[in-house]
Amino acid sequence: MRGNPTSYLLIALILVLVFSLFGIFNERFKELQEKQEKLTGSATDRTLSTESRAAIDRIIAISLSPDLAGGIDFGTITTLPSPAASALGNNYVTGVTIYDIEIDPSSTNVDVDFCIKASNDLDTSPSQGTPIILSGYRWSNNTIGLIVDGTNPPGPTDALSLRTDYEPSQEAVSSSQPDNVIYYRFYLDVPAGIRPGQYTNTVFFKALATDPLTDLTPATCGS
Amino acid sequence: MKKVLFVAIILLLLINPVFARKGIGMVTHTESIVVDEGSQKCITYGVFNPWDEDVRASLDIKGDINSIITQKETQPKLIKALTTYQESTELELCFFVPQVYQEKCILGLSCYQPCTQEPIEYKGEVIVIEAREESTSGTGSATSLGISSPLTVKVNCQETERSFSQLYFIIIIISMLGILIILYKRYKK
Repeated sequence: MRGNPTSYLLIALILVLVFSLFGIFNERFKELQEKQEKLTGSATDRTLSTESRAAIDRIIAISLSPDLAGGIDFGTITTLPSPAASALGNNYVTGVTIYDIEIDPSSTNVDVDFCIKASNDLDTSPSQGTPIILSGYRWSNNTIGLIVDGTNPPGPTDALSLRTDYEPSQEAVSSSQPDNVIYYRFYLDVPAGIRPGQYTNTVFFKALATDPLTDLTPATCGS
Repeated sequence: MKKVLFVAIILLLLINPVFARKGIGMVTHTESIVVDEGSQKCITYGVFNPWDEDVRASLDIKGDINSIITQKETQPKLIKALTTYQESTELELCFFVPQVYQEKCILGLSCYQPCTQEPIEYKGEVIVIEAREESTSGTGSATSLGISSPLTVKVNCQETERSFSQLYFIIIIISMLGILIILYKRYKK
């Protein structure tokens, strides 16, 4: 056997085998030890403590007034051009709007930010090629013109154009009465030369909880 | 006198017709969840309706989280009128998070997970939308109402140490084969 290279190779292979077996047992032992530590905690860092936790759900409930839920109707416009046509509910009873959003005080436990957007220009279906462009579709609410209820309308000149991306319409609205209602008005510029038809789109209202950390910055309305 | 009162009531009803308000309520249990790689997790949102008329509501998802969603309530669900937040209808949203963190390996073996990179997050918003089909009779807009809640899904990185078990196993197989070949040749002689 002495001097035979295959004998040396055999010995080397046996040594490698033994070394690898030892290594695999060592790895397995380490894995078991880690599992044991995860289950019991190591002897050195074991402490006696418990965590107290109370999770409070975030609850928001909002509703549209019946007339706003039924849609913002400008009726039949007979005179063209018609700058700042007023939506039918803007001044339903002498200066009082019937378009509002209300936070339910008994079912809401946070202040609420509101956002508004429109789907697209007002257009007929099928389109006749010339829509009523969105920049002429304007909204106003309590925050504009310093009104505090449904009366005393901010005029159309104070109103802001609707856009196809959400923008804040009112921030940190309290769920406590009487501050829990937002009153809206809507105005539409109908240009001369617009073809007859029923021009429609969709206006979206979105509510989200006011983040107390970003209370003073504009609400993040998303897309 | 009675006639005057009757006419006054009729006029009042005509001038200010009373319709029920319609709306929706949302209960958010969590705005952030931690999910292990390669696992599925579901969360629920409560939807209720404290007003007088039944409504239909569905979930809409915006943002990165759309890419990992496996199940959501897409069909509008009937939410009964006069329900409180304690009686919410639960709408479920499930996520499957794929393997996102890269393991470090030697020739595809002896891998380990270092967890040195920034935690991976999917962000987005969950919106409960009141489904509505009304449209105006003249020129104007239909309206849509939604309540939004932000959601962040954080992917948990499970740090592991390098394991040489697979490498040892391969070495054992090779050395055993070598030993067997040498012994076979020797006994054949």
